[in-house]
Amino acid sequence: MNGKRVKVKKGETILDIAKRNGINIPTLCYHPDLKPEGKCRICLVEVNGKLVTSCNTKVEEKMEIFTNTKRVLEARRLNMELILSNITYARKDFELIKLAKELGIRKIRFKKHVDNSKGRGPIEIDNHRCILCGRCVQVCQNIQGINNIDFVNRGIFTEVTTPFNIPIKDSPCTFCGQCALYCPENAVRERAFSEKLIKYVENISIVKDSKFSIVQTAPAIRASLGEMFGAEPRTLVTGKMVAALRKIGFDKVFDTDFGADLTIMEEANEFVERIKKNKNLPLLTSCCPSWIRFAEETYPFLLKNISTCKSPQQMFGAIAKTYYAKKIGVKPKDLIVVSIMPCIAKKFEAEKPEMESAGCNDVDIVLTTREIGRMIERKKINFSKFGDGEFDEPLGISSGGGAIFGATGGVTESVLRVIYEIFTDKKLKKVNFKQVRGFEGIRDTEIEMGNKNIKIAIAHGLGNIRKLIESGEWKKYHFIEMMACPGGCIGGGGQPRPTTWEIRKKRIAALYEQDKKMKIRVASHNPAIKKIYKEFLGKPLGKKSEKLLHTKYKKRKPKYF
Amino acid sequence: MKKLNLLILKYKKEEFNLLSLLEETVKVKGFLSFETLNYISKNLKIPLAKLYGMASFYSFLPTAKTGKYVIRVCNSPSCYLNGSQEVLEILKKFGIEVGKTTKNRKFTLELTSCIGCCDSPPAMMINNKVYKNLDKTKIWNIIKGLK
Repeated sequence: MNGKRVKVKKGETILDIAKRNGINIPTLCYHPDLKPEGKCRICLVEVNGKLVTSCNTKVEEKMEIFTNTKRVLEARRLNMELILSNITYARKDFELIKLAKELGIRKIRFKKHVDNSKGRGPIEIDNHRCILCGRCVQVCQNIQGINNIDFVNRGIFTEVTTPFNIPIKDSPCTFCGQCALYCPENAVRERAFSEKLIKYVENISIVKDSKFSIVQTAPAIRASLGEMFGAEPRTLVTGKMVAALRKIGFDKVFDTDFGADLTIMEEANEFVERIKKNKNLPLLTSCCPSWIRFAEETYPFLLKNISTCKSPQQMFGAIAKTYYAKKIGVKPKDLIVVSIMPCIAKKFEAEKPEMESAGCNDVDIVLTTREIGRMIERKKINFSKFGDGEFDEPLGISSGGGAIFGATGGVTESVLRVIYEIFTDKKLKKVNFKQVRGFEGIRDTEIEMGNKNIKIAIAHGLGNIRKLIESGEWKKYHFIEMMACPGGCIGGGGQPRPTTWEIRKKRIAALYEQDKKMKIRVASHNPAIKKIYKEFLGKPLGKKSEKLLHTKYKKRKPKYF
Repeated sequence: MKKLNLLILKYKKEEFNLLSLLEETVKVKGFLSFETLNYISKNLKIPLAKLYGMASFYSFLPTAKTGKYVIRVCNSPSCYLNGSQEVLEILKKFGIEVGKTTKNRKFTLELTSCIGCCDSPPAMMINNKVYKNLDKTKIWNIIKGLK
């Protein structure tokens, strides 16, 4: 390689050995989580006088590889120019544009011929930015197994879309948003709540007089928001995030971890109830709106097993619009609840008609991590130099159990912490259930609680969920945690790009670190939770919590299919 | 539907050949509608997106209802240089436009890649018949003959 002899193993690609030997080969459509397809042809190298793609060419004996001859560089540049001709607009911090700069491209000589199709449900595909790298198609087919999008038409008319151009909201799409997460230049993206956003958030000072705005931040945000401002993936930016949100103009900054604690309380009690009655087991978790949509459409026979609890976001919204609004003396309609989520499906969840507990939507606006990051940027807030702020009371107090909700296995662990005390009547000494942590797509374990053996399974990634259900294995467990995105919310569709398994692992580690630092580790020990049950809700699964914190599922058929 | 079921059965048993299945389906059904493709996708367990992607790739697999006569004008270099654009202009005088079906559902006009007539351009196909060396009078006669 480049005149040096290098040792290789069988089955390695040229790109692999180049990386190992510190040689930089630019890549675009290649992503470590996906199967290399050799579509973009940016990673070209010269092998024995021929140009080949390094990402999917296996090494052989007597290969003579050159990675930066004049011919290679010219070919890369031409390909880049052809790719760039696809797009009309791009931000300078997207992968694509960074790469174009690296290759030294200034002018584009070609033109594109596809019409734009935009605005179709929570996810939109912008053809004026798409370069047909195919990452979204691969992720939808191979990792999530939904198969909703593919390449359509031929030649210069090729575009990525649903069959027969069905609007995405009517298709079997679950809005997991992995397609958007893998997109290298924001062609597949979340639909912005733009009109509402401008009205409420951008000019928040205007509405401030008559309205009161609060914001909730999801557990997975604090481990990833820093990445948008150049921080290492493992950095926690809780304090800075709170301070920045306050600077944007929200009246109160609260924490979805509180909602998560509430969810744990309800879900744990529901689980204990079902174990006692031995009815509707296994209990399937209900925090993930994408999984719920998937179940409602594809597996209606599972609906009776899904926990009736709302997701933390919606629980928080319901409490904010009833309990909190009353407490501060604001009409529910004038209280604007904004939530910041790592998720695109949450946008869909917030607009569901059954999510209204005070005559209006419980959550008014849902923003993704990327959106809030861009907003902070637009407001010219210097994020990295911020001091630390703290969450407001009472809806900002949370336990370690709520904090780990964002990681796969986190919901299970938090529930275990609570039910241990219910089952055994002893105080929990070892709060860490390390058995449920890990990264495998489907994992299971058994845990002894008093005289009971509880069988637990955890699945993340819709492809793995499908595997678990269709094999029939799900029947033998008591409790199954389902998360639509690989890695849990930490790898959600609204998270900063790029997201790879390496980065996901770092983010998960950050969440567990935060949990370790917390004083309260078990949700039922959270004073704010105790207080709200005492003052307002009564007891878990009581009449009031049944009305506010639980929901019903119904079989949903997509308009098409 | 019966015919379609037979076709699906045939291709389930035989060596898997999706393209010929779709081709024969077009012969039976006229075009590949949403319902037809969905039916095939459910029965053969192939994602609908894949089927539609494939159907939209090939000019000879229409995914929308076509007219009685499907005119396919070759748009590859040899025909293009020898006046395929003029052919389209002449057809336009009959009210036949690219990518559209005439109101009386008689004609559909599409562009296609090479149909193997580079020796006698420009060429077009009407349903399964090939017409070569087209010029103004020839086209007039052909279209008039079909009416």
